[in-house]
Amino acid sequence: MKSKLRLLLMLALLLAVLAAGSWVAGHIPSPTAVADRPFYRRGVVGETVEFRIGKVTVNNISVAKTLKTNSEVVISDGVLLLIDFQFAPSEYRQPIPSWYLEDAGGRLYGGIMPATRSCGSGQPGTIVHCQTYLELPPSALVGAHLAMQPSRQVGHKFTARQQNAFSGPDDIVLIDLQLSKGRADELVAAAGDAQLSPPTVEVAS
Amino acid sequence: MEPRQPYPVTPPQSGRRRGGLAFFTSPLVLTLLWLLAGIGVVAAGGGWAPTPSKQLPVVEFGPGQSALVDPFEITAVKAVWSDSIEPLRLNAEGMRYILVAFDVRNTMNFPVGINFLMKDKTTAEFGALATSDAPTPVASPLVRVSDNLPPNDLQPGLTARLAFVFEQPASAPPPEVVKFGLPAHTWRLHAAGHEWNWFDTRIAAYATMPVTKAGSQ
Repeated sequence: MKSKLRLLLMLALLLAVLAAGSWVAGHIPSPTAVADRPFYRRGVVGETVEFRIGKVTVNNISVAKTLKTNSEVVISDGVLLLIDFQFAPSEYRQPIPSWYLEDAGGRLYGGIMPATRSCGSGQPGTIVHCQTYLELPPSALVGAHLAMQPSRQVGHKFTARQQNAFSGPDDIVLIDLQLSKGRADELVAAAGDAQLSPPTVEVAS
Repeated sequence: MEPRQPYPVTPPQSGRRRGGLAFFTSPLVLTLLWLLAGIGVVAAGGGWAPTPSKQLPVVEFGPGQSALVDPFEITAVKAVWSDSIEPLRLNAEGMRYILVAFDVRNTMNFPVGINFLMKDKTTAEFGALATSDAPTPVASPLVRVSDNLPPNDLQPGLTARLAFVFEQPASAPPPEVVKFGLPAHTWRLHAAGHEWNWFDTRIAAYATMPVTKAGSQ
């Protein structure tokens, strides 16, 4: 009888240990999760930030309600955040970095906009000036950060390993747009018609 | 002198215990029985994989009403017909065009490709029209009402007014009603575990709207 009791206790202990082990294993970050964690390079508007493939500077942001691109006019049900930035590749020819916006609540905005125009690639020794835009609800502006990362296929099919569709094991430039509620309201109130500027290239000095 | 016993001798047990119960009380068999019992309990509860054990309800709604059709909240706006839609350059002689408009809001926390999730996955029934008279989708059947551009990624929290566009021969009677089937999807990890994506497409809601002549209301 005693040996049976001991055996049952041993089994119960074994199951408890297995359960505890499973719980602990579930809370240990996987090698993939650790390897995929991006390296953030932080900055603000007007500040040049260096990252793996070069230097990027967000020079200006503004908000529009309608935007004329090459041959199309985008009229948003929200607002259109226009972003002027420059990119100087460090060593090799590089496509212009991909961008997305993360709002104060962690929501991500980006992907394919209604009318798109590519800013192409940058050659070493040159600076590419690019204007692009993101369509957003006005509420997304407050506390938003603009993220830029080495170009990758960001399309309708988000190949997210986990919930964050955009993160990856690479450098991500994170620009604080410093948009308080008051500043965001000002920008939205001033939003009107705009024209998307074509990209230009200058030789780096 | 008695020869030394090489091993301690245990008293012999009864034949019944050795042959029957002893087998079931060995640690290995007991462990296996426990595991089997555990598997049985899990299996009785539906197994480890999340299986859609219940038939999901299909919502029916009308103009001005909303339905949650994952990942969108969709509000039925109206359905109209016209002989031409100039902003879309739809003005072929002998054709009639039907627009079915919805307000669509992305409920996720990342952009969602609405064209990808909607195209070829909606259904439309236009009452009792003959098959030859039934409207069919035009070449680019989904547009943004605000600027007539095809929608791509719909941003989180943003409500966009979208229209599905159909055409039919002008000689056919215009439809009086449309019953529009809207697909829902599930954002989950692929069964093979290599990517997150949209799966499990199924019609989750039907919007029924009267179809009126454009400008008549």
